[in-house]
Amino acid sequence: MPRSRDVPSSPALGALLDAVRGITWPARRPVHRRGAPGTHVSRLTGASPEFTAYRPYRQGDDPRRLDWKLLARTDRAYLRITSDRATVGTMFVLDASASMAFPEPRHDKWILGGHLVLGLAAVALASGDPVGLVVSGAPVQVARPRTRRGTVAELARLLRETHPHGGASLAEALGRAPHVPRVVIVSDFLGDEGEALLRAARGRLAAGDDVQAVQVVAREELDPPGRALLAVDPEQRRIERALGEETRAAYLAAFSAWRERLARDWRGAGAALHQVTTADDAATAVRRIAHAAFESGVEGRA
Amino acid sequence: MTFLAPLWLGVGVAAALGVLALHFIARMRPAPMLLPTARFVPDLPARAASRAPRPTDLLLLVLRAAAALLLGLAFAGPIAQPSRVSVARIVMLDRSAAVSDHDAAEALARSELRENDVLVPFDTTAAPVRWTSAAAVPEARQAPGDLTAALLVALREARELAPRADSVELVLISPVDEAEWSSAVLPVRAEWAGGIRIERIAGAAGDSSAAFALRAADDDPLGATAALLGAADVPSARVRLVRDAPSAADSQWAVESGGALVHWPREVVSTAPDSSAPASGAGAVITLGTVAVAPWLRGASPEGRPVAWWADGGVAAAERTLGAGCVRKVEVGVPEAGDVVLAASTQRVLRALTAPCGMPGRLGPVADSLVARLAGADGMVAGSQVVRAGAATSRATPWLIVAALVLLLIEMLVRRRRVSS
Repeated sequence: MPRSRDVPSSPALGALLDAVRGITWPARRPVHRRGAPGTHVSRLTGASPEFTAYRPYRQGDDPRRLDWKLLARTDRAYLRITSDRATVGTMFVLDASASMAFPEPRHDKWILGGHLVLGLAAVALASGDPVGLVVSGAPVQVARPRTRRGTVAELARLLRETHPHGGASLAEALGRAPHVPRVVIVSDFLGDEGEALLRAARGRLAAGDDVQAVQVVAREELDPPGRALLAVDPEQRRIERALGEETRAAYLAAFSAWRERLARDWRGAGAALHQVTTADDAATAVRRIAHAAFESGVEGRA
Repeated sequence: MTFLAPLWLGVGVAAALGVLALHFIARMRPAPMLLPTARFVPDLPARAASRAPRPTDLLLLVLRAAAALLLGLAFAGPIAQPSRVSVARIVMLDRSAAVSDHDAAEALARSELRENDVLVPFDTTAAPVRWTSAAAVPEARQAPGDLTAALLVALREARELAPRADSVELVLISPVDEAEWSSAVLPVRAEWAGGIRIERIAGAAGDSSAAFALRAADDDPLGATAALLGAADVPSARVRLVRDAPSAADSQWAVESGGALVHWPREVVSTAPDSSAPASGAGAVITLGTVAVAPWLRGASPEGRPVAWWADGGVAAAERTLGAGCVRKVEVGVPEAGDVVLAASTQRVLRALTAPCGMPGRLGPVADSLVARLAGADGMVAGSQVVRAGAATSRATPWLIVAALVLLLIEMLVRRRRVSS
């Protein structure tokens, strides 16, 4: 299998990591603390020294959490409420189907998808969150979540050794991803298994995980060349359509409607969906995704 | 250069222009491009017509236009315009056994012929000779003549000569013997709009056709037929018809005098080995130039060169050479009763079978009235009239069609190669 092109090259990776340094990517909802404390708000309270609020004692509360000094001073029984902090394990599921190898020969979609994965992984790792990666394809490649140094470089190596081709199943790749609080699917969602993928994502959401979908769209898909051409689907070569002056408007309308429907379906299921085009800068897109989580998450609301 | 059907030239040019116009309309499959979102393009036919700024597929255009022009040119019938002469003459020269003096006939033909005229020597067949000063007249054969064959060839040659002549004249040099005549002569002659100049020459037997001697019983039915023909038992006759058994003196006479001894037995006994051959009953006796249908009695097939046949092809009479003369055996039984022997057809059969040696079927000259109908009233025919009446053809047409087909074949190969690539 040939190596993919520039996903990402070392100078590009360095520039990207520099650009996303300092960005925080909060969880969109409180997470269960598993193991070592982290930076994200946990669903547990009272296990950390970080003070949050007082609450009157109610029968059944653990008397060990009473603020004895306050009781002595005011003769009122109050509990000292503190917030726990947890890490958010993050799994990236990257689409390596043939549709991501577009446009030929630059493969802008695949490169952008790789940059988003590595940029977000770097941000998550900076918060102490374990990061893993599942690359769809045959076979599905899995890098389990880790927090150690060099994880980003390992993921970059895995991406460099992958060439997008065929009709890889994202639903299968999502099923192979270990259960972690946050799953990020990076794809163009142009496969013919959209309903199966959405069903798998609903399962993750029902289990309490945060599912974020990042749709990668090529600039050429939004604004195809003006000359008449025979559009051939790279995953289903039998689909051949004449794209010209007569069909261009209908194409743009149908593509736009499909993207709107996709966003509505995913958001309706409780997932976040971000649309990124190849015209966007990868670091900017990473910042936007992280900021969206901040806006909608518990930390942002707090 | 002129064209037989110039309208086709316009059709060819129009077709070539049509091809050119079609090449300005590019109706082709667009260049393919991988597009993951191809499914959102409406499913319309993948070929679209558009007006191209310049002709597409120049090689194909050239091949197609050239094929159209060549086909138009082929159907237009180009013919080279030859240098015209005032009169083109076609001389039909009789070289059959019916002619008595072939040298005189040839001299007469040579006097009629000029450069590029056509000589049609004929007997049973006719082959044209384009006349030049060095051309030779084919040798005469002792074969019967056929005026129909000569006329057919002469008419064909007349159409060939017509484009380069103001007038076309047909000349027939022949005794116009009945042996050369058939029922097809006048219908074929009717195909020629003009007249035929007939130079009638002497026949081979002159007026001796009736000069045969008959030796038969007084009550021989064939005696009546011979009487009608004026036969008499004269020693000077060149033909001797015997109804009884020929004697040694008869044979000696044939050997020495070169006469024809015709042995026509009164009693005919069938000795044919095949039982299918009828021994008696109605039949038809065919000699060169005449047919007689009567209740003939069929005898055994004689040996020798056939000179008369039955309707089924069986030999009714045959001739054998005997010294300077010949013996002719006739195995046809003549009915003893009835008036068959008085019929004109019987007379003609008898006349044919009593012809001198080597001239079977010699019946005598054709009646003047028929010769007059053969000659017709009009003279020469204008060349243009012959061209219009005839089916003039262009020698270049088949070659042009072949060239067009070759171009179309090349076009198909080029087109397939482009599609596959």
